[in-house]
Formats: sequence, structure tokens, C-alpha cells
Amino acid sequence: MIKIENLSKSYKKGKKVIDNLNLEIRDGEIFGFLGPNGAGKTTTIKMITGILGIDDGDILIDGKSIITNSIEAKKNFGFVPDNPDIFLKLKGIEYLNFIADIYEISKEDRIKKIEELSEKFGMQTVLNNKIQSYSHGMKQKIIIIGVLMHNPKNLILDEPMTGLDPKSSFDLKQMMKEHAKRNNTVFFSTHILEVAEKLCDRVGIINKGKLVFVGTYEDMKKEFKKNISLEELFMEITEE
Amino acid sequence: MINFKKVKDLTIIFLRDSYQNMDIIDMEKHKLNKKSVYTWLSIILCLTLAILSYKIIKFLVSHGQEEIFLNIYFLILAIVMLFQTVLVCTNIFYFSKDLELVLHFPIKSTELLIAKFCTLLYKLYISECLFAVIPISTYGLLTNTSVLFYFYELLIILIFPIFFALIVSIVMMFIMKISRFIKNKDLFQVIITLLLMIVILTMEYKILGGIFVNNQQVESVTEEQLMEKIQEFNVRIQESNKYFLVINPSIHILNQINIYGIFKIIKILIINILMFGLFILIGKLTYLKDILKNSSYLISSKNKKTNLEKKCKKRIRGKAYIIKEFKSLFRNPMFFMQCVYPVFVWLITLIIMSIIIVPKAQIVFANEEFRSSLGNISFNITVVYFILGILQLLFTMSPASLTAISREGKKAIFIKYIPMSFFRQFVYKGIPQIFINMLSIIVVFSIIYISIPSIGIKYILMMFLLAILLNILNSYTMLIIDLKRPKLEWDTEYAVLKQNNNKMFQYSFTIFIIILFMYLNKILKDIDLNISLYITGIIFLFFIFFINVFVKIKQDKIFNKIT
Repeated sequence: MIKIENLSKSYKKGKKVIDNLNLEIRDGEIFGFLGPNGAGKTTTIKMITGILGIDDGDILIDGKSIITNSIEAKKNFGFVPDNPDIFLKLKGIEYLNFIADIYEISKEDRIKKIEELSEKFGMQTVLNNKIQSYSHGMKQKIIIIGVLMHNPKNLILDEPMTGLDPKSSFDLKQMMKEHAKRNNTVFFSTHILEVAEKLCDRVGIINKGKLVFVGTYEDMKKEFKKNISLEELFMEITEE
Repeated sequence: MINFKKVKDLTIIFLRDSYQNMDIIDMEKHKLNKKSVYTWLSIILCLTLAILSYKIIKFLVSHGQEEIFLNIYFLILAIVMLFQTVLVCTNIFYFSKDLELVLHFPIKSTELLIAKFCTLLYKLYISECLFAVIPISTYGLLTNTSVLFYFYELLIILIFPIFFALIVSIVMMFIMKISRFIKNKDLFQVIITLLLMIVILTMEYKILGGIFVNNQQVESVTEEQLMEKIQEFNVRIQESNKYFLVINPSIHILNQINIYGIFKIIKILIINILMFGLFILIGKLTYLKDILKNSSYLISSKNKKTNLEKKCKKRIRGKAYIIKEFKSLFRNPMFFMQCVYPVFVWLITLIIMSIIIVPKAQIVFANEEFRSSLGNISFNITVVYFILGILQLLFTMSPASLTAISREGKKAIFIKYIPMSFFRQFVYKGIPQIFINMLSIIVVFSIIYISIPSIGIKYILMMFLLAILLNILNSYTMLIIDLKRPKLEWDTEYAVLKQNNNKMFQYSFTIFIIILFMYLNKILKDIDLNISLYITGIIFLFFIFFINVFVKIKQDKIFNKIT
């Protein structure tokens, strides 16, 4: 579970990019975080993952504060950044071994996990190649395998569909569904409204640093009393 | 026909792509920007260079041997230009990412080649501005020459590096042609640079061997004889400088200021034009073909199932992190060439110089009269600081810690979201630099142990320990600088290393350490050597302890630039 409490952030004095954000992502839920460019999605994700400092408020990952108990909080999530160009000079297997060492996964467990996940994502034959020789989708997959290796309760993904081919995108969505099915949390930001509409249990829409809506697509239609598509509703909400 | 407008535009694009503004000039007020830290670092560097040049030249002028300064300085400048060109030219001409962005434009190979050459030349001019302008101008001031000296100085600074850039570029194109059988792009880049480096080092060995040829026993030395020896040495340097074609004419112009100097300038220009013609001719035949060949290289990858039982090893977190750091540094040809190669080059140079000079020096120093003429030379704290000072200069050759964070680029955020404390990551990230510097320490102390056995193993070990402490201090200070001013937004690996202004901090830190040694030498020279060494050790330990406590307490703040 991810709990965001009264979160605020300013880059310049007096100008809040995130303004008193409150949000709770429950166990077993896929949560889509939507918003126009510059709305504060990436800033929020960076604060949840400890990449960016927090001005006010707190973020709890399974009850552990990212401010006061950051190492424990970080053990409870896996993060897939928007840019998959990571450790390009390492071989896929070296990267996975490194991640397994950081999360202190035993030799037996890591072999089992790597075998299982690489087969699932069709990466068995390329693990011994350097990451720089991978395509965009393969890089994304190796990061996802790395993230899933320590079996985190919470999965956080920043724009995960960008640059993926239909097959990779489908595999990723399947993985997110399976992860949530095991009573885990999936939190991801996206621009692709169709994905959010079909995949998410709930969505949150952020605009100019403020959370303007949280709920299901049905809730949204009820709240705005309009039977229109998510895309049209999104435009209406964020244009105000 | 070459379209020079296109060449100019391309050059500007290539340069802008890698340019980092230092904000030394306040563009609005057209004044020096006193708020920029780089302004002050530049002032410190310029002042240090000016003071050092002033002292050396003044000493030589007082002995009537000022000519030797230009002879040696131009030779050093030539070697620096050659090394610098070797380290960057393959990347600029063949492996930079900007090539992929311009190859689809209707540009002739010669236009691209000239634009790339201008980019290379620009980098050499920056080095010249830093290291040549002040010493040569100081020489002009102290030898009371006319205004014409500065006019010639300007012309020479402009045309001097062209010859060296052309030589290396032509050799590089030849090597590129004959080494195309290597299919791994990373390996290819390292091998090309290695081959070029061997060419330069062989040349260096020949030249130094030519300078220090005298094996005669020194019977007795009077001041006149010493001057004679210096004169002889000077002539041998001039002889060696002949190999570089443009050095002696340049020195001649600056030594004999008259209107005929312009003919020597024309001579250098003709040499450069002929070389440039050859460069264009070879480039026209091979350049574009070789670029296209390079861009189609793939990183060798054989798709086969991995034996996980064999490949999966559990390591402790610290060890895993350090191995990852080493792999990222050593497997990237650009990072390897900029952070590790220069250290190897300087160490090999040092070894070559020791092989050539030490036996001759031992013969000279074996003579008692010569020793007594130099006064009572004994091993003391001044010698210790001199050796540590040389090591400090060698530590400056590698920016491994200074770019440890910047090299990560946008993926540096990884540091922030893995469950490992920033302090531990800080400690691990400094280790590659410590390892690289250890090579310098081992080589320097091996040379000292072999060439001056009279120092004794006890003091060599004590100095060795001090050098290790200095090494740790260097590595972690540079890491803090990179954390405070990281360059995370970059497209080319070349930009993060060569356009990293933090290098100024590294130079300034070296100046600070040398000044500290001079001060400590002043206050400790009359104290027992053992106590002086202990005090120096305690000072280093204090600094290292301070850095540790500072990073431990302020770790969140120190890492807050990584977002």
C-alpha cells in the first residue's frame, strides 16, 4: 500500500508544483496516474521513490516513511523509470545479479526467479549480451525482471508503455495484472488514456500540482454527469 | 568545391553540442562574473601558472639560459598536444553520436572532415589558452622583448597545434583503414587509441633518449662547466625538437624578434597546408566509408541460453556495487580512455624517463665534488613533500571520482531509489579512483626504491602510507565536488568528460595541496623526520575523518542534486 499524506513540493519559493496531495493506493489495485505534461506526475513519482526531497507531508510505503525510514521503505517497492537506458555496459545477467545482490536475494532464489521471469519475457537467449545491444523494449523488460526479482509488494512505473511495441506492451500489461492479482499494488503514470481505461481499477488525475479526481471511470462519469469517453472527460477536467 | 558556409555551420553545431558555459563573463554587464566559482578558479589557475613561470624564467634569465625555457616548454607543449589529440580524435572523427544526426544531410565527406577537424582544433586551443599563453607571455615580459613578440606569440599559438592535430589525424585514418577487421566497436576504439599511443610513446622514448645521451663520468664540476653542460643539453633538445618540424621555427621566431620572423611563420603555414592537403586527400578516399562501416558495427552478441548455475553468484552488497562501478568505468571506451588511459600514459612516460635519466643521474651524483657543489643533499621532509607533490600531480590526471556521478547521467537516479544508504554508496563510488591512483603510487615508489636505495625501506613504507591517505583524500574530495555540481544532462559520453568544468576544481585542489606542502615544509623542516611524517599523516587523517563525518551527517543534502 502506498499512502501519500499532505504532500507539497516547490522548486521556486511560493510556487508549488505539488500542492497538498493526498492519495491512497490500496493492496491488490492497479492505479493509473494521469495528467497533462508538467502537471506533476513525474515529480510525485520521484518523491514516492525517494529521488526527490519532500517539502511538506509524508509518503508511506507499506507503513514505512520514505523520509524517516527510507531504506526500509525502498525495500518495499520496485521502480521502473521512464528511461530504460541503465548500465548499458553490463550484460543482462550481470545487471540482474547486481540487483539480486543489492536486495540480498539468495543464489537459489535468484536462479529460480531469473529462469522464470526471463522465460516469461522471452529474454533467456539474450541475458549474456550487453544491455546496450538490446532494443528499447528489451531494455524495459530487463529492468522489469530486475524489479520483480525481489518480489516487491508495490510496483511503481513511470510512463512504462512509451516506446514499446504491441507485444511488449501486452506482456507488460499482463504482468501488471498478475502482480495486482497477488494482492500487490501497481502504481503507474501514463499519457495513454485507453490503457488507463482498460487496465486500471482506479485513476487519479493531477493538474497543476493538484489532484482533481480520484476514482473509477464509472465514478468519473457519475461525478461529471456525462456519458462520454475517458479522453473527453480528461480534456474537460484538465482544461479548467 | 567545399562549401565553407556548411563547414562553419557544422563546426558550430558540433561545438555547441558539447559546450558548457562557465559564466565567467556576465553577458548583460559585459564584465567578469564575480559570482561564478569558475571565474575565481580561473584566476587561481592563471596566477599559479604566472608565478611558477615567473620564478623559473627569472632563474634562467639570471644565469643567461632563458632560451632553454622555450626549448623545453615547446617540447612539453607538443607532447601534451599529441597526447590530447590521441585521446579525443577517434571519438571526434569516428565515434561521436552527432555523426548519426548529420549523416543524412547532403554534406560532402570533406566538409564533414574539416568541421570535425575544426572541432578538434578548438579543444586544443582551449588547452593552449590554459597552459601556453601565460608562460610564453611571462617569458616575453622577463626577456624585455618588443610588442612584436606578442604579435608573433598570438600567431604561433594559432598555428602551432594544427601540425600535431594533423599528424595524429592522418596516422589515425591509416590505422582505421588497416584495423577494420575488429568487429567489436568498443574494443576497436580502445585498440585504435592504444596503437596511436604506442606510436607517440615510441617517439617520446627516442626523443628523450636523444636528449640524455651523455654517459661520461663527471670528474669535477665548476660553474662554467655546469653552464657548458646546460648549453650542451639545450643543443640536444633543439636537435630533438627538429623531429617536430614546427617547434624550432616557432622558438626561433620568439627568440629573435624581427620582421623576418614572418617568413618563418609562412614556413610553418606551408608545412601545415601541405599536411592539410594530405589529410584531405586521405579523408576524401576513406573517411565517409569508414564512418559508415563504424556505424554499422554491432556489439558482439550471440543469442544463446545462459547457464544460470554458473553465471549467478551471490556477492555481498558492497562488493557487488564496487564491481558494477569498475565494469561501468572500464568497459566504456570513452570513460576508460579519459579516466584510466592518461594515468597509464603518464606512468609509462615516467618509467621511460626513469630508465633514461636515472642511470645518468646516478653517475653524476656518484661524484663527490658534484654533490658537495650542490650542498648537503639528504633525505628530509622537503624530499617527502616533493614526492607527494609529484603524486598529487599524477592524481590530477584521472577524473574518475570527479565524474563518478556525472558519468551515470540520467540513470544516476538509481542511486536514490535503491535500498542502500547514500553514505555507503559514496564510499563505494570513490574506490575506482583510489585503485587507479594506487597504480601511480606503486610505480613512483618502485622507481624511488630502485633508483635511490639509500632512502631505506622504512621511510619508503611511511611515504607509501602517506600517499595512500593523500589518494583517499583526493578521491573523496573530488566525489563531493561532482555531487555538488553534477553534469547529468548529456547526450555524448565525450561531453561529460571533456566539457566538464569541474576539472578546474581538481586543478585548484592540487594547487591547494602543493601550497599546504610548502607551508608544512616551512614549519616542519627543523623537526625530527619521523615526527614530521606522523604529523603529516595526522593532518591527512583529520581531513579524511572530516569528509566522512560531513558526508554522513549531510548525506541527504549532498545527494540532492540527483533528481
